[in-house]
Amino acid sequence: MMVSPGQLLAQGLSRISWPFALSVSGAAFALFFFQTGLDRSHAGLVTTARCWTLGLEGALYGTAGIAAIGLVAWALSKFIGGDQPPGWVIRAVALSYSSGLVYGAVGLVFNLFFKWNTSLAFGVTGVLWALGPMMAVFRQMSKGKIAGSVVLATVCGALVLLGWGALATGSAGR
Amino acid sequence: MANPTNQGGSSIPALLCFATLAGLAAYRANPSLKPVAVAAVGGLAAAWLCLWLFGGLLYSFNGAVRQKVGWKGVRRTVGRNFLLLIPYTVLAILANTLLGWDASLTFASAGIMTSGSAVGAELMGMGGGKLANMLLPVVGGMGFTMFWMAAGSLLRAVAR
Repeated sequence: MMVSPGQLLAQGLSRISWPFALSVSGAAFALFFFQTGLDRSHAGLVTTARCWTLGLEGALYGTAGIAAIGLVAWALSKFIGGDQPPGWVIRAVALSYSSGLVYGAVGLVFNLFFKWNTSLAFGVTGVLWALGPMMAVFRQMSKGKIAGSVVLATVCGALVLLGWGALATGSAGR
Repeated sequence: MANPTNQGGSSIPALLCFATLAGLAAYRANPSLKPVAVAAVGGLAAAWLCLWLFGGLLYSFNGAVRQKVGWKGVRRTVGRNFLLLIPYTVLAILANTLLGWDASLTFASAGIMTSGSAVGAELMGMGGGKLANMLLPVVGGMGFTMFWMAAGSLLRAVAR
């Protein structure tokens, strides 16, 4: 996964259903948003109930939001020669957040047991790591062209980051 | 996939990304022109050295690739795959300006590790050894990241 994530993802995609793929990104973002709430609750800015609703918003963002971003990626992939169907692209984008799920789970342990603020250190790092497999998949879609995959990953990454900033922290567009 | 040796491989875009990330790190400590410019130039020079060392490390342990494409080919592979740093740089700028984060070092380290792994994957595709191209990019990337984090922290202390 670390060395050739795009190839692994692309090979395995046909065997993976879209509900499973979206559940991976849904769980990753649920943990990420929940930790954002926990960090804010450490500072007394939000209640525990708000942490749980943030987790639910994260699950929604990781499923419906990532599916929408996957559709944007599918539409843009036409410009770099991509010929995969929209479901394939959505599954690829969603599964890229497998690393985010791992980071989210580890971050939650540190947050709950050691009271660390983990949304940036673990949550954002997990989201950033997702760009690697995403770019590798886009590179395969564009028959090896790096420039197109870089542009697509930049657009998807920016949408995800700003979406999280607006929903979980209320700070996008500040 | 297209023949990798026929694709571009300039390191200049990657170096500009590193200069931007270094400038961003200094900007958060002291938002005036001189420290930001000094950091950008220093970051560019440090990144050039690190990319050279990273390429050298992979060149030394990839006999088959060395025979096939030589030092220039390995350097071009490094330059080409470090283009993957561009999204991380753009996101670091967005996070800095729109979200008000001081996290350019985090973005840089994630970008270095991703790009380094991509270099290993491409060298493997060019006939390089699997173990060497799985381990060396991680080891080299970690060294690169640690150096970048240490240099960034030092730079910010000086800029203050």
